[in-house]
Amino acid sequence: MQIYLPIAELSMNIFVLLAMGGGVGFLSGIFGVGGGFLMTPLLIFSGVPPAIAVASQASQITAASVSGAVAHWRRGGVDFKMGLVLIGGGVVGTYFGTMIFTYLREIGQVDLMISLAYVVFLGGIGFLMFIESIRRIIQNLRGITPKVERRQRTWIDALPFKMRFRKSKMYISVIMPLAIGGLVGVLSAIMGVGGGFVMIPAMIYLLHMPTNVVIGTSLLQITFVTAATTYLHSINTQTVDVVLAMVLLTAAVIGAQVGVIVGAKLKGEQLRILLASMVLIVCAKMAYDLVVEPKDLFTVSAISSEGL
Amino acid sequence: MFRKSKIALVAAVIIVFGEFNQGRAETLVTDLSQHLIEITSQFSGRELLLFGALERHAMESIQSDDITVQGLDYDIIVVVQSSPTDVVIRKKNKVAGIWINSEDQIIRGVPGYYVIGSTRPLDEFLSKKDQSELGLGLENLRIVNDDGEEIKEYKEALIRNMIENGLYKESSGNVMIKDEILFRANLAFPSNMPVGNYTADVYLVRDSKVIINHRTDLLVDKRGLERFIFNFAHDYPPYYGIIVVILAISIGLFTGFVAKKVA
Repeated sequence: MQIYLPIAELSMNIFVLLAMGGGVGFLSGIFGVGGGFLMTPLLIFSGVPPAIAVASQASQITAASVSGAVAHWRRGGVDFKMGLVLIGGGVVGTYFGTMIFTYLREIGQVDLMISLAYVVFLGGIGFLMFIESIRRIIQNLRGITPKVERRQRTWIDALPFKMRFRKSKMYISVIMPLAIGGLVGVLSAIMGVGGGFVMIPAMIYLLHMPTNVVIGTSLLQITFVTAATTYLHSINTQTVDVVLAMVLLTAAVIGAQVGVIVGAKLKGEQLRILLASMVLIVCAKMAYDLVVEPKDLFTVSAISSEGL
Repeated sequence: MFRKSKIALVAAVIIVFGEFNQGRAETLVTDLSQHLIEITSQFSGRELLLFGALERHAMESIQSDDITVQGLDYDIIVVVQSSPTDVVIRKKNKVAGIWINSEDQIIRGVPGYYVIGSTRPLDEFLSKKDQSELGLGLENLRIVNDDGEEIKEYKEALIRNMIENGLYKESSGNVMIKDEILFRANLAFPSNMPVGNYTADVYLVRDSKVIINHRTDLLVDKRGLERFIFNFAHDYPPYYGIIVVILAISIGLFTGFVAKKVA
């Protein structure tokens, strides 16, 4: 059955969209990521124009994340104070991100930027996560329990404006969470992702937050940042397709609920290595497309929708 | 000859129409099965029938010896196109190992949709010169940049791209003439067809000359909810954005709530 997307101005099979939404929602529930890094390329591959894909499925991540965030909150896995700081940085980042996006779209470089951002961020993060997971698994196999080392003091601890985060049992400067939130906001606006793949490692390795609040807090931040992305793209580019978004997100929120249940049964290392592999696969595909000579060197786009 | 009442009706129209064309040897009437394509939520492309009748003015040419020969010589060309639009064509070049859009051309006034069909391949019954003068066929589309230059590789790229997206098409043998008086062409529009005003031109060709052409208008527009959503998104972006966000959060929360009850 076909469904017409009024903003994208094309029709797609509704079952394909439901399957994509459900699948990505399931993964988002398991890993605590919005799933945008899978959804954006999937949509583009299905023929949705990149700008519409990025803007529309930001709202899909909002819905998937809010249900995930609530699920984690019920289990006490959300640090609201840290969440607020991250959201503050994130909304500012989103604002600049949509400005960059709009500008690059006008000069025809938005697809390149999306691809490069995917390769750089997914590649870097995926690689680090992969190495880390492998290391853990080898340690487990050898029966070595990683020593709970007392955390080394670094330059991060020297930053001013310290704040106490009771839930995370931390007393750290707000500059670092603000910066992380801001970076995630930019990525959300330009890549159509929630940014969980950057934020979760950043929370674990840079902020040293306890793992039990990492996923819930990141989902809270993703909810608000992708909401801001949806809103700003609606205003700046009119590329949010509400029909596409609603079909995807209805399937995604259901998938996310199942994902949360499954995710709770998996071990942290398993989760990380699975997520890392997926991130690397998407990254490799993006990199491949950048390097290999395209089938057609020319692309045609309507000017009216480019805002020229 | 007029076996069906429908044909009789068409014939009646031809006769009336013919009164105004005394100087010509033929008349042509064409119509579309629908003059409006409404894009609704289920829209997945649409098929229309372009049909019509031609009359050879047998009354006038009855004495003429070549009437039977004339009858066999008709060919029909059908061109359906949307109103002109502006596009930007970008070309990728390899820069530092990756493929980057590095050159572009802005082309104004090209149809967003262009389909040409005919009874036989155009070259068999119309000279290249006439095809070019009448702007028939993809090759003869005017694709020039702002300086009025036609750049071959960009023109080819545009046509290739549009054909791939099902928006441009050139074919022959798809216009049928029946009993030398009725003709029909099935038009299949894809779901990604641009909205706006379309024209359907029918050219009647005899002895390598276009003797009549007739234009029918077609409007393609979003209807109902689809139209409302599109207009709302473009006219009230802030409200649109907020509504999408509220919908997303509500659906997310609702599902979370239901899942809690179920679990």
